[in-house]
Amino acid sequence: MNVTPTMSAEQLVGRIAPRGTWCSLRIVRTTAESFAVRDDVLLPPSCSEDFGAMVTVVDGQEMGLAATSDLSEAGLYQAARVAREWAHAAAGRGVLDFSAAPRPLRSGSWSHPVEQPWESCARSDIIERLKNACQGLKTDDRIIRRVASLRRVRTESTIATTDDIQIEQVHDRIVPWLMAVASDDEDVQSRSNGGRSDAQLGGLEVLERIRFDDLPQQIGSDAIEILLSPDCPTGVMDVVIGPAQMVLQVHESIGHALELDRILGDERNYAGTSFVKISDFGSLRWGPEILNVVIDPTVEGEVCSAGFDDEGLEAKKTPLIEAGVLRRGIGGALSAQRLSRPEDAIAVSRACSWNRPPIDRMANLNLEPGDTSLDDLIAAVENGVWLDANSSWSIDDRRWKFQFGVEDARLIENGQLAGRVKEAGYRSTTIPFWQSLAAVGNRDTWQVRGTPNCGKGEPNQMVFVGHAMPACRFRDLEVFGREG
Amino acid sequence: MQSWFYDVSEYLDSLLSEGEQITVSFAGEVTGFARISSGCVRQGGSIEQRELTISLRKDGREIRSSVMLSGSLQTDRDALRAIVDRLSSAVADLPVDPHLPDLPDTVTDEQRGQGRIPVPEELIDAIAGDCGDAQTCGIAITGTMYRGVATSTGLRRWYEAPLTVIDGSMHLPGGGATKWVWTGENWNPSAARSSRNHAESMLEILARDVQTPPVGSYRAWLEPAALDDLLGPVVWNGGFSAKAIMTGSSPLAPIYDGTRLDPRVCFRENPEAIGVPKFGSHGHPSPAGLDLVAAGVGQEKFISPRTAMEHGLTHNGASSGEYPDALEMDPGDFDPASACAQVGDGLWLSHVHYTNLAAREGARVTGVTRWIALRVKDGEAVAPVGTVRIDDSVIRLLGEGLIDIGSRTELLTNLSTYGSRSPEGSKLPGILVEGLRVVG
Repeated sequence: MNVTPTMSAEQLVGRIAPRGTWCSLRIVRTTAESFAVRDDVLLPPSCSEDFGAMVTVVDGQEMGLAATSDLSEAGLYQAARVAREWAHAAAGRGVLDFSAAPRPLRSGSWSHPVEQPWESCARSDIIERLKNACQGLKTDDRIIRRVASLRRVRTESTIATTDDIQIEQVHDRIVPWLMAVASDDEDVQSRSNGGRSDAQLGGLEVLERIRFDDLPQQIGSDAIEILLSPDCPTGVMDVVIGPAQMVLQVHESIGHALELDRILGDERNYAGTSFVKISDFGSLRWGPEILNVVIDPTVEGEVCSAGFDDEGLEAKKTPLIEAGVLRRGIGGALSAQRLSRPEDAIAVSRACSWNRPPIDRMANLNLEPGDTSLDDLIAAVENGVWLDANSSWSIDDRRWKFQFGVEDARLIENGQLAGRVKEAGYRSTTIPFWQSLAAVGNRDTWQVRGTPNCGKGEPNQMVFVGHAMPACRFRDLEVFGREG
Repeated sequence: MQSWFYDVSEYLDSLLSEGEQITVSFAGEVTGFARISSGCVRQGGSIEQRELTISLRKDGREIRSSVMLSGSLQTDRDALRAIVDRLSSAVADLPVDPHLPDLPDTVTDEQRGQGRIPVPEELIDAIAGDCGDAQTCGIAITGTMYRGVATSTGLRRWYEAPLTVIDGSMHLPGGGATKWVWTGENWNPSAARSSRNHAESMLEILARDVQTPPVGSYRAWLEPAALDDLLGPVVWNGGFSAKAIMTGSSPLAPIYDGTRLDPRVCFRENPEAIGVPKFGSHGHPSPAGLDLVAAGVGQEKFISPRTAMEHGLTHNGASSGEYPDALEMDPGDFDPASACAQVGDGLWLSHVHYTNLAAREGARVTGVTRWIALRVKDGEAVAPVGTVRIDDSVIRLLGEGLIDIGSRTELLTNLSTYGSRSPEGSKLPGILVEGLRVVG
């Protein structure tokens, strides 16, 4: 991606770098387009182009940053000087000697297959599809609100450094959203396509992959069933958690807990810290031997598949929890170096856009499938519940004590799914919860999913995170209904 | 920045074809930030961004496009023309929007805050460095925020204000931590230092052994920030939204339908008190002096122009989400300094972390203790409580569970910086409540 018609980013960074400094330029162009039909009415469609650059300057031992939407050579030249001023302002007060910080080592480019490019479809066809979906949600007069929407987000990024490195990546993401709200005189309940966890990498083929056109009828019917169902019983019971809720469960109680910048204390003022200690790596038994958790940037269609992170580290599949034992945390090259564990660096240092610096983030954080079929997961429960699709989430700042609610809950009686229940929630603490893992669903239960809304960092950053999850069975979980 | 925005708007007006109208909405900032970890600078730098949203309408249809601009009209001219051409071509293919509101009345006004912005070294000084055994952490952020709206019918509205926010914390080796926030248009290092010193003074009690209360119900004092935390998910989920109240999906729908909060509870939207822009992104005047709850009874609601069109109402300039930008609650007579004495045996909470709606019914909210959470016994704070989970109905806490309301309100600037800095905030007192439910 050239910023100017005549100059590559690599050439540009050499021209703007202050003398005697190391300098990098991270240019990001995000183009997005959204369509939403609410109660059969198309809301004004919107598109956006967010284009800017972050200049990083290391002068001596200090680092300074400057983000600008002025991409002229003069604008970037000025930004590099501002970044150097910030480096000087921090003289002697940096968290480390940034001259020794890891830097990108190899140039490269990465993109992914797109079978049906967004642009190949007429806007009128997309609108028609959404209108049909919105109508499909209306399965009953008690459906009082319906939303069907699609968002496409294309991100092109270029990293160039004064070490003659240039890295280019392109991501095309699709975010489908379907929701039905049902109401009678006594209650209001809603159902969606998986609690905002249906984001995927690709073009419009994503819609076929998730059976988008078949979902509305099911979601509308589910909403009515939920409305009419009794409250979830309260008690300690065995549960089977579906893949859409496993997304949230793993995200909150494994992913964030393992982020190295939380363990280093960088996030203590905002997102929080972690109960995990560095000494736990290699020894902490997180769960039984059937628990295997990885960062995997190679899964086709998962939203954070990538070739590199935003600091230029090459991406590869890396185990975090192997056979139930914690091996390493989630951190980029800089965090790994600060913890004197450079061999544990993973390509997860990511920024939401050009105007925020990269920090440690989950990328594709996946729970590997086991060997138990869905029928067998359920068959082993005498009296319990099925829990899926997140509706409410809360966890403490050490990622230990959590309480989650779900849209989709059903009783399990004598090893079989029985009637729906509503207002279901559960609470537990992280390690006891994972140690109660009794079975992991096989590849047939494993779903590639993703969320567009993971918030963290100061200044705040919202990023996509990929999660591919099987259904799982847990023993003796504290479950509750409306009264909490 | 203002004249550049108006020049851009005039240029865009010149590109319109017969029958087309536009609304141009601008959000920009020139920001400096220093992010501190363990008393040292983790990241420091500047952010300059200028985001323009163009809404083009014709024959009852509208389409929008946002673009990040360079700040030079000469540089951006081609991009702007391309956007207008694209919108102009696309709008005709859309179906008529039956709920498209009218453009706002034509007005010209401006709000301009003034104050000194600290230089990078001052910003770092304010938040970095350690405090005894405690490590400092957090972010100091400063600079000017800009908002503007212009329409092809001649409306011109502008807001710009400097704001410095020091959002810091101090962390003891044992895990106890105290929080401090200083905000102001005019940089005042001694006032910021005073806030920091106050936070530091809380470290002594936080260093004591934790006394975790068992599951049960407790009399508790909730500081203004803790009340703000509990109200957050209620208002995000349509608490005061006319559309959500009409459909029954608002967690506060019952208070507009017979359920009464304590008669001392009064909420209003008051942009003047918070210093937020007096207009929304569409250019309509923001709701001002809107009495949302008076004497414990739901009164007015946020009605966006679109909701008004859809349901035959009169809008009050609310944003499309129908959320408050400047929520104010009336103070009471209770002296917050006597909070522990009045709690007697219970809890004193500065914040409730990671709150979310646990159930719509009763506006039941859950969250966990964080920062200064103290066990109170015999009228005195005796120990930190560690992390406990709260799960309770906000309607109950502001109704039958309300004992008293603090006499001092606190301006709570919205600290969110997702995408951009935010001028919004709230002004709330603390509350003394009975039976706060601790569930784990």
